[in-house]
Amino acid sequence: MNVEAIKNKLFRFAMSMLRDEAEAEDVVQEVVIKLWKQRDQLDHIQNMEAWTMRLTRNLSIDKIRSKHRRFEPIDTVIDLKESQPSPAKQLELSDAMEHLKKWIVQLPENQRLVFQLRDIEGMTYKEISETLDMPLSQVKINLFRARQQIRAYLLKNKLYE
Amino acid sequence: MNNISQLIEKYFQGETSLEEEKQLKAFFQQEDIAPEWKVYQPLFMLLELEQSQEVGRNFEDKIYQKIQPTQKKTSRLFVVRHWMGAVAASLVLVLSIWWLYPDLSPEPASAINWEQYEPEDPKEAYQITKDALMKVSIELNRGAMKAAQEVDALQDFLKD
Amino acid sequence: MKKLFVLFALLIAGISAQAQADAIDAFFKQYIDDSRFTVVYIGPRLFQMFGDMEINGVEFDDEEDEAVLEIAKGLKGLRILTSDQDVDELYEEAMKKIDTSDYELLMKVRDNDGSNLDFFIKENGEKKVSELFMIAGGDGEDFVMISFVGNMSIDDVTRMARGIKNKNRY
Repeated sequence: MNVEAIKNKLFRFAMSMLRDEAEAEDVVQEVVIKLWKQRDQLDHIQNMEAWTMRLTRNLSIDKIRSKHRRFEPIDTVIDLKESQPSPAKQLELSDAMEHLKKWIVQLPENQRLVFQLRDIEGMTYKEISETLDMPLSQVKINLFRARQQIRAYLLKNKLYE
Repeated sequence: MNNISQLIEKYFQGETSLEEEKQLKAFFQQEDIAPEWKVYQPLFMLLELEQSQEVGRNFEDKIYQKIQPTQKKTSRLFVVRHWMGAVAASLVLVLSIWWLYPDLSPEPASAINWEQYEPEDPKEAYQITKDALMKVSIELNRGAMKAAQEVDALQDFLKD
Repeated sequence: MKKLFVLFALLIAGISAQAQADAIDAFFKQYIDDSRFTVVYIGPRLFQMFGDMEINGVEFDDEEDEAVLEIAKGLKGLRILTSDQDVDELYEEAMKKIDTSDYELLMKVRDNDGSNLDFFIKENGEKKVSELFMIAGGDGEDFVMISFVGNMSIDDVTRMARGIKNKNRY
């Protein structure tokens, strides 16, 4: 188990749920501290990485719940509306990425998380299934839907061509 | 080139392998992308960019601090890496105590008649004093060593 | 090193305390005639006699002794309290008795085997008297309290530590 190698991955995962750097970092620290405190009892865990990712997920959800916060922070939603480009407007590549990033946020949670774990973290379907406690078939379906929606968005808005 | 078209199609059908997805991300990092694929460039560039997002600096420091909640005030001690440093720390500890407050007022009165517990022989008293100083000195060092070992173990755990 | 020093200096500066007898005194009051304890006290009179011992034929020949003598010059009191019975109970009791507003925890060591080791310091009034106080107890070990009230200099302690190091080598 290599904390140094996995910490950024955990951080991005927490970020995808919390969208707040400080909170995401808190969560990752909690995960690492939990690992550290239970380091003698970790041997029996089959897939450490999926286990830590799941822990990250649970702690992130706890954090969200404790704040009675909706999954989509309000400012992001407002931001999204303001940032909808007019179809005619051509954007710089970096702006186009920014727009896409904000748009992805509003995908249904399961789609968004599967997409994040597969396309950003490069995890296998099996790992994603273990991390999210989701049947393999659901992982594939959610990924397919997320990618289809993103494709449709790109083709419709032509942010960058 | 046809290959890329096929890969893109496979990707959106959810049929690419991790290896193929890597190829796609790599392909879209270049500047000159054929016009028909440009529309997808923001996506693959974004995936690559997001992958490099990292936790803030001082992440480890913060963990050291959090891991010893009972020792808030001395928690920085746990950043001492080397055990030599820790031994030195315990010395500095003792030194600073007396160095800062060298002045001395008489001992306050006590309800206990302590003198009844005094050894009669100064030699014996000396040996006791010496043993007590040694004991304290050794234990302070041992404590600092332990702290340092804990730090080392934690560092191994974090860095591996 | 400098950094550490500053930190410990801060640690010590944060203490506020009222003059009372030392920690052992406070704790031991209720156990005065308790046969479970072995008690040793060394007061100023004895400390002052150490210096004359050499004259009276006792030889101090190593660095360790030199350091001890130097330190003893500044000591006002040394109290040692030990017991090999009810170790855990006594440790708990003693920890309860220590007024944390009077003392500052300097170091705390918990071993896996259940043994405890704590160091406390105390500053008195206008940053004058310091007490260094150690308490140890736990599974299979004796309960030990050692308290020094006194005045030492940097050089003394450095010398003492050097003495210990040399001794351990042989």
